[in-house]
Amino acid sequence: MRDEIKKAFDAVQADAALTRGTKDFLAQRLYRRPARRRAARLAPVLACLALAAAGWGGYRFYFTPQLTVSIDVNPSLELGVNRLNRVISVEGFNSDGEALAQSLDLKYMDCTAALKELLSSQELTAYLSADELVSIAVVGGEGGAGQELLTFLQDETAGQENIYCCSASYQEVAPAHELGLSYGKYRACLALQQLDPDLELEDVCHMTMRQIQDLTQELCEEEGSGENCETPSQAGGNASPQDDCEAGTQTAGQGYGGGHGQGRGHHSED
Amino acid sequence: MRSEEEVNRAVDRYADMVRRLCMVHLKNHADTEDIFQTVFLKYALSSVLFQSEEHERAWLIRVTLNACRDLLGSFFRSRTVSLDQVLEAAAPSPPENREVLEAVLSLPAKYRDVVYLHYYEDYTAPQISQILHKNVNTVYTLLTRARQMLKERLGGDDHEG
Repeated sequence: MRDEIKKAFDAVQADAALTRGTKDFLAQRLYRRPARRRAARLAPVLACLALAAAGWGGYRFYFTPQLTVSIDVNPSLELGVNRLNRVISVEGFNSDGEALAQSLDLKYMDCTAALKELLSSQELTAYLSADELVSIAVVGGEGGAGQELLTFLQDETAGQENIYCCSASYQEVAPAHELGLSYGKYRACLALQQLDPDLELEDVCHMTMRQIQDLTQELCEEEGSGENCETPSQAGGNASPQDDCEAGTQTAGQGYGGGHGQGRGHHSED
Repeated sequence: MRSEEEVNRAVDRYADMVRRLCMVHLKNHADTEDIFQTVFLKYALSSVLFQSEEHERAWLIRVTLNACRDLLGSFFRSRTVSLDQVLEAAAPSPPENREVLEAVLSLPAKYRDVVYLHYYEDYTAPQISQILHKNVNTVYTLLTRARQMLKERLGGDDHEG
């Protein structure tokens, strides 16, 4: 009986399909994860990456300035403004500028509101009372944003003496920050240097805006020609975006001289 | 978890044995596939360290029989076929083999295991008692009765074992 049972059961064997099917099942279940499950497992990672990318994109969008407003008296201050017209950076370019930046909480404010607050601040009013000259330069701002802001500034400062507004492109004032100057002050220094090439930029860049204007006016008078020194005040208004933002241009029709700027001495920044 | 190579080796080595145990208990091929997957999945996930090939074989027999019992006791299982179909599906056997298989498969379930384990796998009664967790005397009794029934069904002295 034993032999017959052995012989009978020997004929019963697992066919190849059954064995292969079992191996495939185990491989699929335990050793090789199907693509769909792998994708499902990756989904949270991909979602995190997408979120991070969106966050990074949003961060880049928000914190990339489209224009810079350079305010120069003796303090030199720059406001970085993003495409949403928000102030995203406030940077002082000398010790007075840093002190002014710290005294005003302008970051993340609407740009026009920030400029209004700045223009009405005690610090700036004190400088204007001391007959200092305030230069406000709008640098950059494609698509009319710069022009729009300049118009706002011109309207806002229309009744102010000793404040002048102008615009410039980033290309024109690109080396400014390397020299430790704000865009507006660099532009004024450059204009002065053009009148007297012997002047070193390092010498004039420490002057206040008033001193730069007075020196510019003096050089113009020495040349005896007003052609290169025509100012918006002489033209009867603010500097337009197309005008050069030459030192000495004023907004409210106050001519050169007039008791200003006899001093040619250099103010120390500190 | 065991490696894929180790599991594949076990499938190759024990597939025939599991297939025969399935045939002893189950009535269709789909159930056999289920048992194969269940048994070797348990093997792959088991952390049992086998001391020998005999130990491994006995472990797989026990797991297979338990899986078959679980499947047969399943409330949802209603797939049954005739004994002829089982034999047809098992192997294209010669008539004499078919007669023997038919005799074994027609035994009540409690006798089939001991017959297969004793006559085909050559386990002794004490070994079978350990595998099936039954009393040794019970196994002896089952074997004796099974032998008598098989003699009756297969007839004559030709089948003396």
